[in-house]
Amino acid sequence: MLLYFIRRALTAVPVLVGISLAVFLLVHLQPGDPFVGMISPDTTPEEKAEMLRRIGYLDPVWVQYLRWLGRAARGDLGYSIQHGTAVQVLIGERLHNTVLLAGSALALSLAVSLPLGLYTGLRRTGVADMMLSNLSFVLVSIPAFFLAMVLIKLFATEWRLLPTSGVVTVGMNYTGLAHIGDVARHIVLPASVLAITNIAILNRYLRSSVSDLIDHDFVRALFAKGLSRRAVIVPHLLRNSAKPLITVVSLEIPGLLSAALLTETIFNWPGIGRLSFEAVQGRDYPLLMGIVLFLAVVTLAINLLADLLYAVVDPRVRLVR
Amino acid sequence: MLRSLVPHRRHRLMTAIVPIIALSSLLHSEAVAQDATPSKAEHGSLIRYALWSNPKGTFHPTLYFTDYDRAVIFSVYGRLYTLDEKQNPVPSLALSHEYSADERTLTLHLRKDVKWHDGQPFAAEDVAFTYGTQAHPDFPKDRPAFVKYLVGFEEYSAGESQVLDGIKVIDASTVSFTFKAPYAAAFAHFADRPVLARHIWEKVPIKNWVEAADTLRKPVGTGPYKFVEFVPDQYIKLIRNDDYFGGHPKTETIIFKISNTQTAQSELINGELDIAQISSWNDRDLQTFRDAGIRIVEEAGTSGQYLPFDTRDPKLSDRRVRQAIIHAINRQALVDRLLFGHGRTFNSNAHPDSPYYPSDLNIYPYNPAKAKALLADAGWSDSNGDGVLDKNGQKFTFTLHYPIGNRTRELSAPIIQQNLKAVGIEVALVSADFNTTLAILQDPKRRYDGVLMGGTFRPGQYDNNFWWERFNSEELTRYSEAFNSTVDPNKLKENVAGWLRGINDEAIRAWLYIPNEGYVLGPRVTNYRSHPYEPFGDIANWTVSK
Repeated sequence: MLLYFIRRALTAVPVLVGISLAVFLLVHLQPGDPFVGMISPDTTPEEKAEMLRRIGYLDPVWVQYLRWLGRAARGDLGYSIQHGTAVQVLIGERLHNTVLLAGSALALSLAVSLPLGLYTGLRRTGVADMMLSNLSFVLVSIPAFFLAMVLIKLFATEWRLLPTSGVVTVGMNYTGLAHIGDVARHIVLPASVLAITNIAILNRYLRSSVSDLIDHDFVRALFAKGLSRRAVIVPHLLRNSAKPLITVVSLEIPGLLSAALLTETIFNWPGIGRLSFEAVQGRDYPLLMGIVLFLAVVTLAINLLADLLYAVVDPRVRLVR
Repeated sequence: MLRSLVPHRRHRLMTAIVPIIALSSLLHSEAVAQDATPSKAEHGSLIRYALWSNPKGTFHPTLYFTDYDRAVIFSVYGRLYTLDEKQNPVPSLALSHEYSADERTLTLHLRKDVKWHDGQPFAAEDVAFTYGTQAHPDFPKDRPAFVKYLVGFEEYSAGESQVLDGIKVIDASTVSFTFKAPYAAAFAHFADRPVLARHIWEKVPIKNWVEAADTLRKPVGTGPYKFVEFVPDQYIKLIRNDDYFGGHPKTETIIFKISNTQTAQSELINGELDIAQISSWNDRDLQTFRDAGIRIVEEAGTSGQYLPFDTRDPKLSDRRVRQAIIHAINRQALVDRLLFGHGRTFNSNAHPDSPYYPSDLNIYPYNPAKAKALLADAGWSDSNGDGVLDKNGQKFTFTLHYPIGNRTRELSAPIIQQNLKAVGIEVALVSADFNTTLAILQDPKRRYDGVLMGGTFRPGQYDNNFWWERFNSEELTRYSEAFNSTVDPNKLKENVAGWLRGINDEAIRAWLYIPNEGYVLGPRVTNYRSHPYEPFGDIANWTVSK
């Protein structure tokens, strides 16, 4: 098991180096440079070249990449060009916000889609199933930003029920329970936007998985033995449909992190998504590389975790290879 | 006079000499004072002001590059001079100035009673340090024109001399600047670059300044508000400086809240924000504000949009062709349709409110017939009847590049395309992100036809710099040398006006429009005042009801 873990982690290294090289080259092949927006645009080319030389930007690209790689290997992601701050610090300042948002969205979507998927899977072709299926398609097709605007219009502008921007009400300095309540109020809209499309997808997966299983011989046998519906569904059906669910959820988590870019931007949620948006706009390649590398690590780690979970829900999966 | 305009950043580009003459501006700043007797500083009073993007945390007067950092810097740091509504310099940390007999040395007498927010006394050494470090060999940014005009700049910036001869501390409250020639734009630099605390920044090596996040993010100034905290991507909190030399600030706490143009409207209506800049002049949006009891303040704009031409291009090297393009673009229609009338057109590299802006410029009225005539004079005609002009078998095609991010500017591109099509010019539109588009202008080897750009006017400084247009003129350089070597108001006016006329005549760019600026004030705001170029100049007097 441990050996498997280490082997998986080691194969991730060339993947990460490949990703970082690709991002580095992509950023550097673009016209313009990170300093375009930082200096007076009427600075003459000679003055600008002189300034870039002063700060070491004019070194060849491969020298810059190796310098970056050498530092990254030691855990130093360098300094953001635009923020003048260590990349780790910038990510660290926002990570908990993104985790909170993505985590709430995931919890919300599981809490809704699990019972729904189970219900519709068991009652295929029922009226409720038809309606929910159609609703799922509608929800999947609505662009997240449009959904966000509709929710803002209804819940904030019209009914004035929920705040639309940020994590806390600024200037109120809430503490303790009041603070938690304040954050909870702020998270409702962005988490709902993130969750709604997810709910539709998870619901579809679970429904088809459950409806597939219900026709299996072992399920018929269980019913034939005279077990109650509950005794069949909870230990047998759910456990067997958990495997595809784990796959979907582990694929959804990186998706949630990148979908957060849009949601965070609209709702001013101070997370990684907004940071990466700004990094791309400003050609802030140390920051961009840091974020990409970080997300790549998270994605690989989640895949690994999914593999481990397979073993938990399905003893037939043996990881000692 | 323009700083190029991006939605999230502004840079300097063009300017306009320190104005001495009163001017009749189209729109003046408007005060909102329902409460005639400004309330005494209430305990717990709070103003929340929207910023459209996260500041970079570069709270440093000579290093910052976004307007969002600027908002914090101009509330926390004091300046030697500020600008009044007529763009005249008003002494602030300085008390008075005098020129030497040859007018090359400017001596400033400073306030003696000022303390930094950490209690240290403010002194002439701070002033010398702030402006001297911009010339230091290790200074990590581009160097402003101001330091290049200082005596001894070359020797000092190249590391050949340990002292910058052009700046001298005479005593604790007197400092002098000696320029190579009399330099009137010095005041504009003082109004634009607040004074740094030497005792804080001398501890950090200059070459490490941009990475000194701990110091950059904890600004210590002399201004009306003290910095409390910066929560990235969320807010910046400032608290009243009770010892402010300009008087007791009226509101206890200022919070700059990071918001965006999509949600600001509902945040204002919802009471989550008190002041925001107007992002759309659409009547429907304005009416939504009015219906919710939110007031709208409108003032003259300080940024312009324009279309530089590559004057080396064989087609565009003919001045008549460039003039024809300006005549062909219905610029007033851009103002009417895209800004809903809340803006104005302009005709040279300065704001029409600039005191030196000549009244007799060619205003290039919208006139397709005139445009066609000018093009015909230049040899362009539609010889094969395909609707597109040609000359020597070459079709008149024009590639219009524009950056994405500024909605109004994006919408202007297809209108310009239609306008030029009407006179027989075939326009191809190419959009890209801001950096990519600006890189076209910044690469002197690159050929182009036209690029939509924008910038913020900077009162008091004119830069004889046309390399975006790949243009050079001895006549313009003569004017520029003349106005950059005098402090005599009459000579300034004469030479700046001549320079602006020359640029106007050469038509090196099509000057498009200047959007008005506006602010929306939530119902709690009882006293708010700002004027063009000084959005935070009066922040110490802003008040809100509880």
